[in-house]
Amino acid sequence: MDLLDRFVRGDLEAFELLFRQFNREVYGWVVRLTRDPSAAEDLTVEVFWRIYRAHARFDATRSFGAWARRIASNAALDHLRRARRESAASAMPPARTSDSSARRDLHLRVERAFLTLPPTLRVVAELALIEDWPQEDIAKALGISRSAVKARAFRATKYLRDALQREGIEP
Amino acid sequence: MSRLSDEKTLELLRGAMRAHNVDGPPGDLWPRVRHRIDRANRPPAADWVLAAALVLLCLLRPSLVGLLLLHF
Repeated sequence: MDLLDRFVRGDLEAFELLFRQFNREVYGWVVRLTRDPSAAEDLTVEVFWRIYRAHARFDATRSFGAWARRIASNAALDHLRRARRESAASAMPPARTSDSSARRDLHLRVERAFLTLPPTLRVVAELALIEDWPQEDIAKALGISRSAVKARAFRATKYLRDALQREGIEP
Repeated sequence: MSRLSDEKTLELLRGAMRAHNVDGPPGDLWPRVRHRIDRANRPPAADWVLAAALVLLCLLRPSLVGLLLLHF
């Protein structure tokens, strides 16, 4: 029987094989969306737990990787919503020892502004604005429409522009 | 007051925030996932306490066995 069919039937060995195949990808995706490697291990465990719980609902004719990525996106969003209530400044300070102090200060203020973005805008900003991913790929990865990606990227840019100005960054 | 343009906003953002290139988790996470599954598959402690209480009750009052069997 096919590996994915065995997984759908709840075969734990098949699930472990899928875990071994996809855990690096899921971990990398979670780090990307959260910018928080210290939380990514727990979130990766959480993602695979959610995947296991939902095994019977998985359609074995579809891509397991895409499905796992979508579940990981939801887990990352949940984490960002929780973390947003805490200090925005606690996540990953940039390590740039060679930059001048004024430049470092500017980067810190930009990062602070970025971290205040609402989670749904933040993940789109990460992929569309920073990593320059195609809208189609972002839509697939997050399980939203292409027009939603476009709208969120637009709103994220506007939000960032206002946040940067609140940080005292002028044109 | 003049406003930042979209282009300038993106330039500032890309200058300050670098994309993450991650190799993978530092350790093997499978034992933690497996532990989580095993924990969920185990019956809750309250179920064991209830079962023990029923057995004890049946030992003390054998007449209750018939009542319990009727229930099931």
